[in-house]
Amino acid sequence: MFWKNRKMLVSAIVILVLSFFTPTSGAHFFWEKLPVFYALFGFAGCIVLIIISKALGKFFIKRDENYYE
Amino acid sequence: MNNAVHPALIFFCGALLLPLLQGRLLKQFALLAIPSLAFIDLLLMPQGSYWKYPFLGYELVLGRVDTLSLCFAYVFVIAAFLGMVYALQVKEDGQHAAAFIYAGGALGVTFAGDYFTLFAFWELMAITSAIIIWYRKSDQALSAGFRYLMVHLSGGAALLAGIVMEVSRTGSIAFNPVSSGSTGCYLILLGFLINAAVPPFNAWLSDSYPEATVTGSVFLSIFTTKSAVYVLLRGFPGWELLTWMGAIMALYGIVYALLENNIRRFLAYHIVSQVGFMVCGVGMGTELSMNGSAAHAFCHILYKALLFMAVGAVIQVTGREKITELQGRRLFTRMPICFAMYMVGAFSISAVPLFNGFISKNMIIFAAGEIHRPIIYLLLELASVGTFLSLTLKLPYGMWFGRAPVDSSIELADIKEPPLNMLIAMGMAALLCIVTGVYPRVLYDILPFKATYSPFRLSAVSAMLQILIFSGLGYSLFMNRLYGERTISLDTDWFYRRGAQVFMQGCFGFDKVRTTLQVVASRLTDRLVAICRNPARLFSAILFNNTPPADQYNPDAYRQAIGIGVMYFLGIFSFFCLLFFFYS
Repeated sequence: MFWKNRKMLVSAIVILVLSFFTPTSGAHFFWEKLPVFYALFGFAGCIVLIIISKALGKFFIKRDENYYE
Repeated sequence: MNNAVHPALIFFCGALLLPLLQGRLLKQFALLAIPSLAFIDLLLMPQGSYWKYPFLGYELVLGRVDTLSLCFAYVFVIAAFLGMVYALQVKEDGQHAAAFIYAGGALGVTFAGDYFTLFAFWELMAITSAIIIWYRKSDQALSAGFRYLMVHLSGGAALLAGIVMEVSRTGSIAFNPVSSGSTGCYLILLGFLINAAVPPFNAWLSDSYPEATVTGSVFLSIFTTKSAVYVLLRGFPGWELLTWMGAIMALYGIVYALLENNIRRFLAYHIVSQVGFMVCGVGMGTELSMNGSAAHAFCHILYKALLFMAVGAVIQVTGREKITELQGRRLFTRMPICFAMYMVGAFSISAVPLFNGFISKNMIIFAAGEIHRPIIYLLLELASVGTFLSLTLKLPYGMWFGRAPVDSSIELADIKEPPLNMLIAMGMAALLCIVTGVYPRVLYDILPFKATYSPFRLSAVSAMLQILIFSGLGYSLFMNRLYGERTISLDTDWFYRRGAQVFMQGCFGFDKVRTTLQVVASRLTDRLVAICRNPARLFSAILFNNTPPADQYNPDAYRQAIGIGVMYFLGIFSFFCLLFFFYS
């Protein structure tokens, strides 16, 4: 699991801390100025994508391997 | 002063020359020399418009050379070279020749300055790529190749129809940016969108590329979609429709990739997704976004060829192409070099800083920010999350590592690294991915427009690292639910694959109705014929309930002795005589 891997955990924390000190002068949108926005976006986006694709797969897309034969 | 020849000509001559060469070494030398020659030729080509030929009152322009066409031509030739290094061990000349003509077709499209030249090379690409698919020689490859060809020929027909309408409307065959919304324009756009695999016209790609040979799919991943991006950049910059199609396409590919079990189909869906970024960049139509599309096409060709090579090597060595058959075998211990190369490609496509996806994909996303398109911006960012999730986390976990359950019915013994030339090809592609990623100047200098973009801004690097690490965290929560599954995914090819089946069944049903009708009709005719031969038979059957012996009408059969007539007459005559006798 992710949080048991110390290197990953440390780098995640370092990135989060650094994000508070990153200059945001060229930002186009308000969210680019929020410190940990992209971390949350990455985390939530990942879960949303997995859930959406799993759900679509289960209800619409997935078929048996011999479907076309 | 122009000393160059058309680079497509070099490839065509090479294709014709190949079968004549004797000896393996000479042949392999030629395979590498021809793309190299073409590259030198490209360097000799001055910018401008030349190689013009009169044709039926129009002017064909075979050499429209500017920064945009050169940018694509460079990467096509480089990738053709890499693909040839990868395919050196293949002994069939036909495969190499088809690949050469395919590459030449793509170069012809790139330098075409008019619609007729464009169309001719466009169709050439469709046919040679179908041949590359058929070289796998399996039943699936045969039928997938036919489906591929059908789709592309329909696309070509739409393109031709559009061209004819446009030419008759404007009176010129020059291929320039299209601004009007006439039917002809939309038909041309349709032809381009089919080749760019924009949903709902995407299914041919994921259907056919995984069915080609391992070396063939490397070539397939290079030319068709990217030349479509080129013609979109040339003809349809700034079409709002393309922005949305591109953004949706980027996510569409991700969703399907996450569900896929066949490892090359997995990559094929990522072509759809990555081309979505480029199409979106074309749609936004600013100098920066179009630079981004060109740069992303350049980088994409390199890392996607690398990924197809690494995955192809796994297929070549193991003979298996499904995650369910490969997972849990820890292949990375047996094929460490191949694994490292795969990860370079995966990091590049996921836009990890210092790999080349980072310097091109983010340019398109940044361009969306610059013209303030928040929804497009977030959709593209989400697609980047998905790319990392599927190609750097899910697929490697299934293909290379995996504590996932092993399909124990399949033995995979004797697995080692692929042949040296394959490793060298991967190494060169990986090197190019890293060089362009670390030192983007080399790429930015050949981009079509003069828009400045600095990729390694602290905020961009920080944002990307946050996205990567925390989507990794998200993935680790679901890791055990993302094993391969023995399924296939329905895509828009359902409509024509099922549609064709239903149509065929309909035809059989219709045929059955026809046969039944025919049987009934022929029986009726038989009866009628019998009756016509001898109508008297019908009367005797009805009146006397017996059939006379003869089929043919024979008057003698019904002629009776004359005495019977006399007897009837006498009887009736006597009856009347009696009547008179009693009543008068």
